[in-house]
Amino acid sequence: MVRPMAVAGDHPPPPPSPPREAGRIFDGRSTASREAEAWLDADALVVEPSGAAAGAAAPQRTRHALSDLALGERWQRGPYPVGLPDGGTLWLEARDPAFVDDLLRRAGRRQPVARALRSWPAVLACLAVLVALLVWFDRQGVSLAARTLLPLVPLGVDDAVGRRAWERVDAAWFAASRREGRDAGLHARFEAMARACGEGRSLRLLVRRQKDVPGFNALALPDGTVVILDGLLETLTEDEALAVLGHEIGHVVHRHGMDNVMRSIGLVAAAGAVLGDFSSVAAAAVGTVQWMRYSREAERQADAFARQCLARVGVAPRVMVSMWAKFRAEMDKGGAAGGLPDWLSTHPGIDERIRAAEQP
Amino acid sequence: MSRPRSLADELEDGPLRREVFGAPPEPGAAPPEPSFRARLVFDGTGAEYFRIWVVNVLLTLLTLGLYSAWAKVRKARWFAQHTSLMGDRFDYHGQPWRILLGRVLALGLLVLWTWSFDLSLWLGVAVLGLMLAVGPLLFASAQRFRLASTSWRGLRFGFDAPRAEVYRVCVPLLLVWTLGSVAAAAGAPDAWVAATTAVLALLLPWAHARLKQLQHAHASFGGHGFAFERAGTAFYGLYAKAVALAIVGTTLSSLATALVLRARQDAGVPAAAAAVDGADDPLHILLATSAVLLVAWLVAWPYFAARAQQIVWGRTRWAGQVGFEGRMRGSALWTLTAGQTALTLLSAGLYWPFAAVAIARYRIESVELVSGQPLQELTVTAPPAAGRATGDAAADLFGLDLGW
Repeated sequence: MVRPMAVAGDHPPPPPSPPREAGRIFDGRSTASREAEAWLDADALVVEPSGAAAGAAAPQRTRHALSDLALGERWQRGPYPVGLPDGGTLWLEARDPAFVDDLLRRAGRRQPVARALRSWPAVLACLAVLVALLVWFDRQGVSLAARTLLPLVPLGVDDAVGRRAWERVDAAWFAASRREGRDAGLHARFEAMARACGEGRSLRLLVRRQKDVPGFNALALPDGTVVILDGLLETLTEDEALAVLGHEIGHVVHRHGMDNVMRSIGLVAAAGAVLGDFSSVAAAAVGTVQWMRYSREAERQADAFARQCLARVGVAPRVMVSMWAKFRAEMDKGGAAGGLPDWLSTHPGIDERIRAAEQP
Repeated sequence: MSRPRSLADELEDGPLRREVFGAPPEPGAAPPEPSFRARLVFDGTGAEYFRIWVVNVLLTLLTLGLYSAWAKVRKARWFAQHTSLMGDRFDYHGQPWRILLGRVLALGLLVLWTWSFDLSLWLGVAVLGLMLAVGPLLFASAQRFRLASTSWRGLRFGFDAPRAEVYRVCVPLLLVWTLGSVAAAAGAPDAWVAATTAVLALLLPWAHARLKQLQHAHASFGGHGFAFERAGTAFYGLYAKAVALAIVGTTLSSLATALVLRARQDAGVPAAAAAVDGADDPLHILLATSAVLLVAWLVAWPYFAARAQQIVWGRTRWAGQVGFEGRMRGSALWTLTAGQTALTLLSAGLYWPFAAVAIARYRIESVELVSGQPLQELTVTAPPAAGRATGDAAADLFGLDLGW
């Protein structure tokens, strides 16, 4: 369309006719469609079906107030659907994205997220924030969240979870100890230690062996059950065994079992948010691998607890140095069945632990 | 204004009836086309989905998950509006707050289910009872929400299954899924648990086939229902081959992992290979297990997904005369998945959205419609009430979305 040029001093030019956008209308009752054109007029969208029925004097225009339209986000390309108040849909060809943007602007739909999506700088900034957030969450955030939420979980939950877990673990992994009555002294000292630093948790000591080997290991359950295996008792002195028990009591008092549960939920949830849109398996795997790393932090905390606790019951914390030396000797046997205690191997390096134990 | 005749009208009495039901060809006329075909087309780009993914994930994390419902709507709209059939695009109309409500409910059930057996056996049994009572209804409502939120050419899809059938299909499936772990939690002897699990595993293909039948046989579009032909035996073949492939994949990758670990051990690194009795490094065991499972999954999943699509869509019909074909090929999907997984791992996950789009494109574009009549002329009219009712089906209380 060619309009005459406005000449200075002449009449003002007629208002330019608004840009039109081609589209197709579906009425919401049939799959049939009609070609149409649409344009903006003040605060309304005017839709005019083309190829009106023969004999009709004028095409049946409809005006729709912009506030009545269902307007979603515009993508980079492709037709744009406009939900009409009568249940129909107008699919704009959207050959000119500016038309849709003008429609959204006049309808007062700001859609800030959609605007950010269309700009690479904004997306890259979001990506940088996302990576920083994930790294922070992985390093500190998840611990912070678990520490904050842990006091909200009643201790009764620890007890119930621990009891159920022990029923299964005991049946699946352990056999009765072969050291009948030889550890009465250790049991008495464990009771004293539990009173001195158990912080009111009810603690019990059980002795077991692994089904085919003595087992060089000890473990603690959230309900306060502390288990030590024959292999440890055969190798360690009573003071050294007490150091191991102090470490296990530390796990109970610091509620590391429940802490672990909460971390795993947090990490799997975060991994699910990132990767879960197509593979929940991938998300669960990533979340679990990250979770495994945290036990080191808990181990250091339990070691520190054991040092304080030993001092409180009158044992020199330096006993942990010889205890770690025996663990290292066991580790050096390497590959011997049951040689490597599982509560050690996700743990800080043994040299680091010996250095920590040597500190006054 | 005269409106196009509906398919039903045409079938009552019209040119379509003569064409479809084989009126004798007029002398001298060209032999009729054997069939008309139309393929789903997907034209979304990985680059655009990457942007959506970054922004969706960031906002979801910043809002502690609350935004995930809005994120899902954005993603579903993007996928629907970039999928077209015969030149017209699909659209998605799900309401975010309903999705949020569904997610809160589903998360609550999941947490209860995951932890109840750790707290007490009776709590676990109670939660199982709750799942059996409301699970089927929630599943049906999610299915209805998904279909009623999806439209093509201005008409919504629909899903309406009789409640009794929903229970008949979902309750056995839930039992098949859970009884093994329930038996283990109840402290049944190992051999007994293994036997139960094995017997129930034999029922899984049957339960899966019935679920697909439930989903496909009660869907509708434009006042016409979809139909689904029974597929039980085909699912047994599918599962047998997938399990065989998974065993091959697991064996090969276990051997490779064992060799690697043995080499590390010889080099003096404490390794997981000697940990048959479980007294070894759980992190290494977990990593090794994950690697083995990833390989098994990469070997078996593409075949399973491709064949399942062929079986399911090959048995689906719409309005009695439009058939479907799943044309996905296991080998092609295998190559695609392996390549995309490698790129995702190499890019520390940043390639993920591109991989997701590439795989989605292949899966979407493999579905083809086959009809005896020209598909372009196929016009349907929703019955006067149905057009509204299917849209409003999403508005009843149970119209919740549970899927991720």
